[in-house]
Amino acid sequence: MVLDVTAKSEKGAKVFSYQKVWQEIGTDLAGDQKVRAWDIKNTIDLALQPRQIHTERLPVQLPEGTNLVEIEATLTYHHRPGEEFVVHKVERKVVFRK
Amino acid sequence: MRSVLGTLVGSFMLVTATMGGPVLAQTTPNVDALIQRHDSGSCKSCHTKIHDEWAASYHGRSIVQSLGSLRAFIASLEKERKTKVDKTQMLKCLDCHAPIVNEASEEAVQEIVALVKTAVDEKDEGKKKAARDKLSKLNVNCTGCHGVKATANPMTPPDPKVLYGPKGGTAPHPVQAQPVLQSSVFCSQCHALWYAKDGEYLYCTTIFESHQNAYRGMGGTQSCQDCHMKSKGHTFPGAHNQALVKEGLTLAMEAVGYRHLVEGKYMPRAVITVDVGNQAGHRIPDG
Repeated sequence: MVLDVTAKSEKGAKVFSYQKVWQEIGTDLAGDQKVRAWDIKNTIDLALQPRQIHTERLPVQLPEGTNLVEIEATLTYHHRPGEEFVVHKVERKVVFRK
Repeated sequence: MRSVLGTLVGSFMLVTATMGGPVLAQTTPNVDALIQRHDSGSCKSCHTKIHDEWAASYHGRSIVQSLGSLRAFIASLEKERKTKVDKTQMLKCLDCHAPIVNEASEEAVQEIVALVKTAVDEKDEGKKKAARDKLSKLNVNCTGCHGVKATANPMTPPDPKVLYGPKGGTAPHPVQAQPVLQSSVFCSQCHALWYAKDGEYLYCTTIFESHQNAYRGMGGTQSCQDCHMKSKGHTFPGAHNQALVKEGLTLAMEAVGYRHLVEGKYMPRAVITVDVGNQAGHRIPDG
């Protein structure tokens, strides 16, 4: 599962991007097993835990002259290669006063 | 005292439920006999809707969906572990991918091993397809859950003549109520850490541990069946179902802009806050 956050200026130029990945234990994002099932005796849990909200707080420095940015957050679920789909998308517009 | 006893019994069930599969008569001599005895087609005439839901599910193709992994497991036994590929070893996969194999003889298991090799390695497409077609009849089928795995407790193995349902009732075949079929404990027989008879434990899936220890520990009350059977019954929608994934996840974002004084100039800055929430009964992703 991937969270992508991007910001574009009023001219459409990408001025910021950020990505966070939640992975299944023992696999990569493509779903390929990276450790043998019977060898996993110690592991790291990189998944999003139930009944939890994960907060990403992103301070962003923007280029001089930027008056407006359109920010988009997209959550994509990667079930298996070729079966990725957007779960949710949220957009916000931020205007900078002179 | 009664509640303490209940807790002890419940804990015992959780521990024993995933230990090496059910204890059953191992008399089915070959794969054809196994398929015939557990043919889900015989259930269809009365349970048409449920049968059709199941046929479209991942449970309904649990062997052919995992042929590559099965072949890799056999190869690892032969080449890396130098271990005899027998029923004890094969049940490490098949207890969950084809529970009816618990009733198979050692000879039938050897037939399955040969079929897996043919279905993956064979150059002749005809032979390959024939092996695959035969293996496709071994899967998580009606009797796998409502017979072989139905009691969820190896200390009280199922009666092979009986089919178990959550509420019992009357039918042309013997029926018995088994309420555990409606419980997450039932699903934990496969969707959890799995202990083999030789003492090995496998981490193929750990979703039940997350459900029990994290979700319930944080106050969650829904069972596996509450979410995965509520709208589409025996199709068991999961991570492949977009509607269910959307239901289980939330996304919110706030953003604020301001100007920050840097070397005499007020430069544009923003703070973006994104909240990703997991409302499912287990961690995401997991399997």
